[in-house]
Amino acid sequence: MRITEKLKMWWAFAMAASALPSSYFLTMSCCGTCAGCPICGSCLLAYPILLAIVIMARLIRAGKGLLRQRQTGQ
Amino acid sequence: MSLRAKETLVKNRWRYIAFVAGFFLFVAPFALLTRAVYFLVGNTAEPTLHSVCFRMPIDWIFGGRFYSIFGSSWFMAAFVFTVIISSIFFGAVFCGWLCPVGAVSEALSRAVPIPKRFRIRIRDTTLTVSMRYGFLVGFIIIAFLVGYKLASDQFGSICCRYCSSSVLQNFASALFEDPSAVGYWHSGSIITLLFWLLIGGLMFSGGRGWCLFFCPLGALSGLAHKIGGRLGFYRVEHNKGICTGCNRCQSLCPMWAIKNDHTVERTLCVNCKECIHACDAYKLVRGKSIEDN
Ligand code: SF4
Repeated sequence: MRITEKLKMWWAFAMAASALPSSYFLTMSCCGTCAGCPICGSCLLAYPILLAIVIMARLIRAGKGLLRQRQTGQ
Repeated sequence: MSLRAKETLVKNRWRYIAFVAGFFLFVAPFALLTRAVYFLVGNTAEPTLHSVCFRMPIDWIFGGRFYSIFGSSWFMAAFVFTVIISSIFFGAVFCGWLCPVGAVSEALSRAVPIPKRFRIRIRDTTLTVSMRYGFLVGFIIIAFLVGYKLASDQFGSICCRYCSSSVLQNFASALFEDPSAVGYWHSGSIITLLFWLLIGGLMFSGGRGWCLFFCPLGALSGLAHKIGGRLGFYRVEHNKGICTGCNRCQSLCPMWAIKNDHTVERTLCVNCKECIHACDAYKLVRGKSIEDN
């Protein structure tokens, strides 16, 4: 495995591993003061981030496709 | 329905029948398996999908609450351990054939004809595996912190915050028992519904987004299957010699388990046999690998 692939793998792992705990703890202030909803403010972070990842992935793919199209001139 | 889709439906009919069976075995008001076990041991509780929660025992163990698995929830713990241990010998067949949560999202993805170009699929299996086990580690970290009360109890356990089983159970209860059961919505369940069915089900190719990234039982079963595969137990293998490189297997695999060289990533594979039924290059093997024969 090339070093860039390894880096990509560990990066994805670290991002995924930190997503839940960070959403959990970063929203503590919201949850600590209200706790009116059962997810205690995680919605503030976790899913917008996830959606952003999905949208970015699609944009990157579309961008790559465009680049490839330009390169091949089709 | 296209001819290919019909062919897939016929060839994989036993798995789709198992999906329906899984629903009746675990989801209330039926919950036939749980009901039978409760009857045998004289437990008078009303069984639901929560009686076999796929995630709570994992949360307890990593949270240091071992005693919980020996209490009244022993059946739940026994069930989860059976699923993980059986994955060593037969692969993650519970995930691929019986789990009602995965079945519903996969069925939805197959039933709604969204064009492929709008569906998301990560082609790099190493990336999928990294993310899957990254999320598992995140789950374990929170289980540990909440279990040991480093985080306040009011934040609750991670598995109950985002519980796809709850959403499914409430839909089923509303459908078969009391329609008011569907009115339990809160922000956690709405977010879960969105990710389980809308993003993970409809938008992710194969409809197994939830299983791939957010199910700790699925992730642990995948690890168990990887170990089992190394030891020579049941696993799916690819025969390079007869592969034509058409890539149909990749587009059919609901778990994105087929690598670009068409070998199978075992931590993701659920032994669903979709690839086997679509292509002669895939075989379910035990003992020696295809290439050794
Ligand atoms: S590799 Fe084959 S058996 Fe395994 S999950 Fe994918 S389609 Fe199913």
